Amino acid sequence: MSTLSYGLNIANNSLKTQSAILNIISHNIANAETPGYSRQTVLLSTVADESNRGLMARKLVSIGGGVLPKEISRARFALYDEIFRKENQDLNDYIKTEELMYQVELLFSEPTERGLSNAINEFFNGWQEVANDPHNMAARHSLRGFSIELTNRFHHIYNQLQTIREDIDLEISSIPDSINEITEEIANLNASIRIADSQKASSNDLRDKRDHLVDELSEIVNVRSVEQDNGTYTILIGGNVAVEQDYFSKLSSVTSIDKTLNVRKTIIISEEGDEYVPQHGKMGALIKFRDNNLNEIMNDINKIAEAIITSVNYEHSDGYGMKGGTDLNFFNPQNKKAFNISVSPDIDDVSKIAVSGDGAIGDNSNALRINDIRHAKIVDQRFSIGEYYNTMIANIGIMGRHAQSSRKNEELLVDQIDNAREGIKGVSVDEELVNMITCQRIYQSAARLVTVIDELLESVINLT
Amino acid sequence: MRVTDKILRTNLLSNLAYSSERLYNAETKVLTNKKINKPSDNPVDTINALSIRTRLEEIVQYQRNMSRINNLILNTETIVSQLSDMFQRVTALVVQGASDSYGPNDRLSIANEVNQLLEQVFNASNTKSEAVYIFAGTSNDVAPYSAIRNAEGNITEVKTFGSGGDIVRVLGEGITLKSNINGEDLFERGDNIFNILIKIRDDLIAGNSDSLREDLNVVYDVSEKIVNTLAVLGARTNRVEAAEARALNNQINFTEYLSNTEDVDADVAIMNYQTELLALQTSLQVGARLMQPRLIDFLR
Repeated sequence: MSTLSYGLNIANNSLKTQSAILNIISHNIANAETPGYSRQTVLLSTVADESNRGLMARKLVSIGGGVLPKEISRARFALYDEIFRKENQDLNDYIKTEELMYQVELLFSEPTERGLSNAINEFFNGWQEVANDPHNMAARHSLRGFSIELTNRFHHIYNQLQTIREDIDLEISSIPDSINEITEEIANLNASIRIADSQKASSNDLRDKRDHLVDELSEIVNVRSVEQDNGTYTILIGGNVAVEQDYFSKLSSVTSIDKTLNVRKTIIISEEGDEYVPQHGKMGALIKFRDNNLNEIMNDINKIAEAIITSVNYEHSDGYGMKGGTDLNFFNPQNKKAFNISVSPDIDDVSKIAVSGDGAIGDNSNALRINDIRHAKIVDQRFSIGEYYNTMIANIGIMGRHAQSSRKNEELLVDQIDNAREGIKGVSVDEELVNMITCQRIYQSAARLVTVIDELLESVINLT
Repeated sequence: MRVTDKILRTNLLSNLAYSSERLYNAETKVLTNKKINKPSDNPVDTINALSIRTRLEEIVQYQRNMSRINNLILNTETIVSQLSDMFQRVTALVVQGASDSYGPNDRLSIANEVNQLLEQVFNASNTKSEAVYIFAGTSNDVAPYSAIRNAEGNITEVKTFGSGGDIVRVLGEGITLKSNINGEDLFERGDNIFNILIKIRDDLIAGNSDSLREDLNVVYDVSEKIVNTLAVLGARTNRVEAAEARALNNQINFTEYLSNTEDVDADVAIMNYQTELLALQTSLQVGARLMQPRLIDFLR
């Protein structure tokens, strides 16, 4: 049935379709910078002339009914999302580790005159100076000064390490809330998407939002998403189900005291009471760093302090002070850790520092024995203090360097994948403008068609 | 690949970030003049630097120790060589006194001189240097010898308050040196120096030539002991000098090594800095152009 009004109908469809396209272009341009947004396109389909179906049988010409929007699709490639999230977990892991390692490296102030190494050298040089001059009270006072400085450096380093630890605990305890916030929203979006899909409404923007939330989650923990048939995402965090349909598992943090290290420890548990030990992401980095690297460093520092305290006390208690007293401790023997190492009050009177090995005032053999501790293999019976400390610093350096280079490499990788993903889903304004002009021309043409048909109809009307 | 504005921009931003980071590193090197500012800059060089610093600080301490030993040895050497001179004189006097050509009055005046020498030796034995009695061994806060005198004020016996014990000093890692000559070895062991002088004096007063001839042998022995002590001191000086030379050599080497490990080559550092700066400027310039053209600019 080819009538003029049929043409009007086609033009009308065309106008409707072009405005839809124009609206989508507008939407795309508006969201060009929105995080997580995927470019949307209108899929078009021709309108078959349903009423003319009978004509086909009679081999008459069938004229189509123009165009109508079929579907609004979003440009997205799920595999890239998966790869991006996997690499993003690692990237955020390395970023956090690098940041933490940087703090640790700085607090050791090596290699400078402000480090522990220097304080240890000055401590032992102080003993040699006293050995040169057992009578000299000034040398004894300066030895005591060096010893106090040594204990202060130990305290400073340990306190700083502890502060880092506490900061990590604080950060860990804030993580469940941010995860819960995200998983709750994903669960809500799951519900909305399911409803939208069942009503054949567009869920593109909801899906973008949900994908972006999963991206955000991948910064924090190792996360995987599995799309179900009804359009909902099942979110797995480290193997545990965090979101399923409209349900999300609520995480919380629990803090307990770790007696062996004299520090607090925060862990994350699910509603079911399982401990979450993520391997990657910011949170994986925090937990790994706290429970492995930082623990190791704190143990090492304690070990060095303990070796110095024990060995120096052992030799010192055998020696004699200026007035003959013996069996005194140089360091307070009750305090055997880096955080509480202290010079014993027994030697507040510096004449009691046991320089002499046999009670003779000019003898310095005990001071020399204490000086020998510097090179003795007293840590684990295998390393000297210097060797052990240097190895520890080297390890810190290697860890720091590893974190740096891993971060740099991972950054490149994530950039590449993100660019690849962006290549598909990103909005190119130029492209949209071209589409806009095309759309504008088609719209103008369709409008023109209306005018022409109108004129034709007018002439028909005027005939009568 | 489909390139959008965002890709261009993130690309530019991440490249700018890399350039800035490299520029920052280059700048830090120029400003601090150090290659290693934290262990991760180069873990291996860091421990090298730490070990070298420790070695240098030890060497400085060893040098301080050695300068103190030098003082002590020098003081001891002065006194011992004075003793040696005194005993040359004693030898001459004993030879004179033992000869029968001298009369009692002559012997008495010789005895007087010997007595004076005894007083000098006694004073020397209580020599104090830097608040320490150098011949007192390890009990060196009190004078090691005291004299018991008769009615005329002449020394009849010299008592010791303990003059034994070695004072060991550190010259280097595992290298120690006995730094003192203790009175026990020098004055008391074998032939007691004070006793022989007292005996010579008394023998001279008594005019006992035979006994004096016996004394002469003892005097020779004592002189030899003193000369040997001087030789020991000389050998110690040599050891200290050798150790000092080695320490100085090590100090120079290690300082150079530390500088090579830690310090930047200023020319290279500044060159690197310039290169990085140029790279960043180029990126910025390209970026500024990249951001400009848009289709919208050409549409009417």
